[in-house]
Amino acid sequence: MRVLAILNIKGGVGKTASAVNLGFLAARSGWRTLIWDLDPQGAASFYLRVKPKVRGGGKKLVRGELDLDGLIKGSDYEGLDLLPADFSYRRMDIALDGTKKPKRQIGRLIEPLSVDYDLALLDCPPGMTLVLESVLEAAEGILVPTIPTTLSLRTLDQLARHLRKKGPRKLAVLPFFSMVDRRRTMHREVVDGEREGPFRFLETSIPYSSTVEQMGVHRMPLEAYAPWSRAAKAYRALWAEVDQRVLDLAGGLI
Amino acid sequence: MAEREREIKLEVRAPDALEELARRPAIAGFALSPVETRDQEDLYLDTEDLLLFAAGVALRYRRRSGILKATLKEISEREGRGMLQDRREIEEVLGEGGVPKGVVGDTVASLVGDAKLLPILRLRTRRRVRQVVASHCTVAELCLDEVEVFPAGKEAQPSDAEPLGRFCEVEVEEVADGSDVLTAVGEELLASPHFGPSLLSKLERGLDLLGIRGPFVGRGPGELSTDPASFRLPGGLTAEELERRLSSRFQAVSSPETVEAKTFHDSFDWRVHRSGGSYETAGFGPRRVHLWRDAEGRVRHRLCHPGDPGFPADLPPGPLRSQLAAVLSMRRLLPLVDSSVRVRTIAVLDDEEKTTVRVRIESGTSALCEGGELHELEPRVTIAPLRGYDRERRRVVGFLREKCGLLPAATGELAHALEPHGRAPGDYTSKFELLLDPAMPARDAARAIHLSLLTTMLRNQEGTRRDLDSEFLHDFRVALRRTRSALTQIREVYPEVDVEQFKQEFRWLFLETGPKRDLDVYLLKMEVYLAELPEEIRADLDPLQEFLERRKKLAHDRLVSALDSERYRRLVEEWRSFLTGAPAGSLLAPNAERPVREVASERIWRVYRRMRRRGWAIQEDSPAAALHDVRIRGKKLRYLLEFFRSLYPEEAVGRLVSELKRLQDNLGDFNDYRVQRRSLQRFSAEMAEEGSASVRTHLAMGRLLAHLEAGQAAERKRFAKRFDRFASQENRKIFARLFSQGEGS
Repeated sequence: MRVLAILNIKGGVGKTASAVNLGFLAARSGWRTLIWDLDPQGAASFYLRVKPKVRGGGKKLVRGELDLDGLIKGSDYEGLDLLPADFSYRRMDIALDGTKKPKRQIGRLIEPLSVDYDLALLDCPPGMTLVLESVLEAAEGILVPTIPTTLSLRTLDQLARHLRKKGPRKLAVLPFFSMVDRRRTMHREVVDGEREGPFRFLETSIPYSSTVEQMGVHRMPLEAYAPWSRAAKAYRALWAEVDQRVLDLAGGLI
Repeated sequence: MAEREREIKLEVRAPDALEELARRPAIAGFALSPVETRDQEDLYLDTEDLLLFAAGVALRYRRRSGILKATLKEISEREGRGMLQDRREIEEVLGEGGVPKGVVGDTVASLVGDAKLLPILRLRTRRRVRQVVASHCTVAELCLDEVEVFPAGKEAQPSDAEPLGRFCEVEVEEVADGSDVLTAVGEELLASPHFGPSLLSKLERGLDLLGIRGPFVGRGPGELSTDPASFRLPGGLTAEELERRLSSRFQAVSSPETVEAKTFHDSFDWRVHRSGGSYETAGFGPRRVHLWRDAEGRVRHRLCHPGDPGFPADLPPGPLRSQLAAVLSMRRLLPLVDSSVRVRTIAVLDDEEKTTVRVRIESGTSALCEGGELHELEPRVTIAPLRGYDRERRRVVGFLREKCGLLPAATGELAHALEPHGRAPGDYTSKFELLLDPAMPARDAARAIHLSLLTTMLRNQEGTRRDLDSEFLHDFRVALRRTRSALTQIREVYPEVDVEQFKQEFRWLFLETGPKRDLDVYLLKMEVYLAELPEEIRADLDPLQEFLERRKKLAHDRLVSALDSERYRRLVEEWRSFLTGAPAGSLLAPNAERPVREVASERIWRVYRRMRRRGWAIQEDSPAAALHDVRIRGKKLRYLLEFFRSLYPEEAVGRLVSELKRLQDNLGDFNDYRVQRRSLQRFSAEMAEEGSASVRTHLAMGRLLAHLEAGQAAERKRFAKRFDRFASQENRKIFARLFSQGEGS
């Protein structure tokens, strides 16, 4: 099982929309896919119409009193399952902190699922938290949706510094531009201009679009209600790139 | 009458805890009455393929105070991980004959049709009951159960036999409705580490001990049973009508029809299927997906690979390849059947318009990959697995069965695709299996044996010709050798002149196919031998390997021209018409009309005694040829035992065959080393003549030769012990009892 996390220290960058749309596309291309909604606000769960409730909460989960297996819900789409969010995840940091090796916990929890899934997508809450650190330990690759502003690029540097501090570990960092509004000069300049930075961006950018915002109304992935839209097209291109990179990670194997 | 039973069930982790419960005066603030002990014996019944169990119910016969009752119980509902179980059960008192004819009988019939019910499990329970009392009223019963599990049915044993296993559990059954006694008692017990929630019914626990895992056993609570439940549509019910009925009861939407095309693969002798797996491919090019599923249909390995699966080495390294290698060894995976299924999916939704159950109405076609016609598949309805919505799934399944009359389909996807072609998974085995009647004339038995062997030969003919893998020729030749052996060992059942003619022709065929088999064996063994040699000289043996491959090609050409020859065609034709035509009378064949068992016993007894005599005569310094002679006699004996196995008690013959096999393995290995050595010397000479081997290669072959010699010597040493064991008095007694027919034991 490949483990990819979708994260950004900054919030409101189109993380959850990316998780749901990429998860859908992954499942459609034959990957048995699990989205783990780690965000206490449960937007991914909401998009997929699953009631966000983990019985016993994140605390029990971390303490090992629950296992993930029994909490998973099938989505409306074949091959795509969801591990719903729970409001109690907001205390997840505290729960993790109470365990012996907090940074190993997420990896320990998803390991048993590796026979059932080819791909796990972790939709992470924003912020530099213990949850995030634990996710960084578990993931083989991270997707970082980034709004093309100088401020956003700085958070990427922050992430890079953090990863360097942790020492060398094989982790594919795949940032891509998200919510790109080409009417705005700064967006255009950042996307088109020469970039210096710690990571190479994926080729595809996701445009800013009200169609994406409507995911909350339709409660479906873009493909299910607006497959012809520009944004849907962009997500398909993004998935094709990610798919290729994921295949690379696996050495051509799943 | 339908009743619901409300109870909680706990597993007992320490036996002392049970004793403590039997003694304590009160529980959770309720008084406990003195212990009353009941012994009860339950028999569980099901069809051979456990249709009832698969449908989520258990059928139990229980005799208490002389009355035999049949109860049909729902197996525990797993939704919600509580211990509180609220299950439906119906029961009926059984009359003479012990067949349920009332409501239980009707329900069972609706689930299994006219499939036969067999006893599958016997449970003996010592139940100690204590009444849970609140203000002088019994509100619940506390039952302390010690359960012993015995197999029933085929494996049944006398009632005093050792049980398969034991377990203890505590049940608290509600007597007065609406009280919260269950919760209170449950909470108090669970506070102790000696008790835990029990999620399996007694039947499931028992079957688990028998190694049978049903749809619910072995899964955690709340988790979905992922086996896609499949159903047959009753005649006259169309897909449209089914859709209409579903929509009338549930909020349901249907999506446009899709087509799923896939190919199933297995080795010729079903090694994947026999290991409990299935292998399928779908899609094209780089997106071609290979899936390995377990017996429950769950995907266990998945791989994107454009090529066909054949030998494991054709796939990139990884878990799928390792799994395949472990199962196949030298066999090749072959495409078996293509299926193309049109699926109309009806999604049942919840109040958030979220899919909770996916009902697939499937129809389509399948075709065998080796050619043949396209056949329609029997339409069926499948509930696709959707995690986390087990309760909803059960509701829909219940509706489909009770209101739409759907019957469970007993077959999996592969079997379903094969069915219209008259094939079934596992329908070929290289093992000789034939059921004979002891009283049938020996000639008819011999004909049946020979016909069955001819079928095996012909089934392997194409794979042999195309050299798909080494085992086609192997099975072809084993059938051929058995054919020859039966011709000479089952004496005087055919006219002598026919026997002579066919013997000659089969000998010819055996010789024509021999060199290819020898080289196959050599190449297969080379891998083993090489692994035993020091690494630095392995590469030096590459020229030998290449030499062998070249030889193998030549030998294969020879074999193919034999199979394509007029002589072979005529042999098969004449042999078939000989076996099916008018038989010769006993004048020409004195044993033809005698009962087969008599003739078989006579022969087996004689061959056995001779082999035993020859074996005893082997000394430390006996020549290899003497061992070879024992081996050949052993082989004859083994074939005879296998041909006539069904005429004798299975257990005894089974024991003799496996004892003989141990000895034969030793003699076979000894002989292999001997033959390999001789061949290696010959190859070495031939390679020298060709000039295709360097000095290093010759030196390496020398090392290999020494290695073979050592192996041979080691097998030689083992012989005495193995033979002593086979020829023991104990085994002799069995041989005498089965075969001597009162003559000189």
